[in-house]
Amino acid sequence: MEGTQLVKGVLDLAVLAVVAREDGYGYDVVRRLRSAGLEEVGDASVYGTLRRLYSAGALTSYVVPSDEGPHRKYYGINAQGRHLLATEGKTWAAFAATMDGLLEQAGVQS
Amino acid sequence: MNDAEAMGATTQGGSASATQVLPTGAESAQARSADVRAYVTAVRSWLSDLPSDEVEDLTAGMEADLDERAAETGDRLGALLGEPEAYAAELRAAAGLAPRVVPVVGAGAAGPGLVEALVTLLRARADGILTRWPWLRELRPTWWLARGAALGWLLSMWTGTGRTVLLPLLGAVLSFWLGLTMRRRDPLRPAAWTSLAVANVIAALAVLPMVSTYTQSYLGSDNEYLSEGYAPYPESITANGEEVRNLFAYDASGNRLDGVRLFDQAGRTVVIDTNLLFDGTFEGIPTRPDDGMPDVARDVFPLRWAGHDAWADPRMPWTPPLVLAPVPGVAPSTAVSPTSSPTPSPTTSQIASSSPSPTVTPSPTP
Repeated sequence: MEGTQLVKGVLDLAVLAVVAREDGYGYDVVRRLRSAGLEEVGDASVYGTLRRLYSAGALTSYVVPSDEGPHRKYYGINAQGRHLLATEGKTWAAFAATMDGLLEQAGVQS
Repeated sequence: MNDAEAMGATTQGGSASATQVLPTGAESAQARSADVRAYVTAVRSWLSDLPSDEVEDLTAGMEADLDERAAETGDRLGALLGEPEAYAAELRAAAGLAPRVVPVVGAGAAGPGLVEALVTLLRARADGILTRWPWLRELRPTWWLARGAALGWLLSMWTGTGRTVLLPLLGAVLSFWLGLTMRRRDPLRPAAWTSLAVANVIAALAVLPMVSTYTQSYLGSDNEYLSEGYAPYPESITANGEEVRNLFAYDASGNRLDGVRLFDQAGRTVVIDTNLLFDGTFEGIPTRPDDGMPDVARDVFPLRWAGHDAWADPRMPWTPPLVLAPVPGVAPSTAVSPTSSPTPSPTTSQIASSSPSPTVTPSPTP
């Protein structure tokens, strides 16, 4: 299974986790995801995800004007987003534990 | 090195190429931001089917982000992120938006939906091109004029009115006005946009034939002037709208005159353009070896040359009479009988044609 396929499934969670630590603009979020190890994440996928989470009410958004050059758009997490992060995080943890168990039974070192 | 920089500068804002690396320094920041703007505009055009506030939300801050992205590596965005079309598709998929309406090619797919989708597609391409080469915008008024002229010319060809100047002019003016009006208007409805696009394509195809026709007719008239002598010669004289090729003079008594030289009111010698003699009426004209011109005195009438009797040339459309009636009140010369009619009698006519030497004609009366 390709890494990109896996990332797509958990991108919401990953983006929420990154923004929960600190507000960030689009490319900043991309960079933090990549430095965390999610190399295959696509730029546009992250922008789209941020936009969708914002529309869903899980993120706040604000524009930071710039004297030289175009403005930046920052995203931050809100209460609803933190709640989503917590529940989705639990789902992921349970899923990951299930997978670990399956692989352990098959003798695969994780 | 200089070549590489020159290449970077000339393709600035051009199509994103995987191997293209932008030049460094302040120049690069400028080139980069042009590249970024072009990319963002292209992405936006791929989102253009969405509500405009949605597009704003999706692309707000994108320029700043992509600029930072491009500055990190110095590569063009096309090389970093792929085609704007794919980028936009990924963006809207991740944002949970419906994919762009793509024309479905196949049986039964034709219809208003297909036309609309095609128009949107072409528009997006046109927007992208204009962003990459912004100076194209400044050529628009020129194109409006050329387009109108070409369509006017086509119309004049089709209808065969022969108004090959008036109709193109009218077309150019109309088209210019249309261009100005359209620019102030909102984006056109697909139907209007399609008609305009079709007209533009037809005009573009007609420009070349139009230009070549005008060029040919200009050069063509020049050639006619040289070869067929339609245009009046500067040195020739005309009578009743026709170039004069020879002159036949009679004195007051009605006798033929030879070796006549004529002058106008300013004292200029009246001459015949001897090129006119080459029109086939006269054959066997001796030519000067140096320039090939007829070896004929141009200012002595009637024009004559070796072996040719101007008064009795059978190839001429008219045979000058031997004598004319004298001018009223003038005593006829003794050389000719006063009873001679303007039309020569058979005997005198025979004498005239049987005596090729013109020197036997009477000398002018004193």
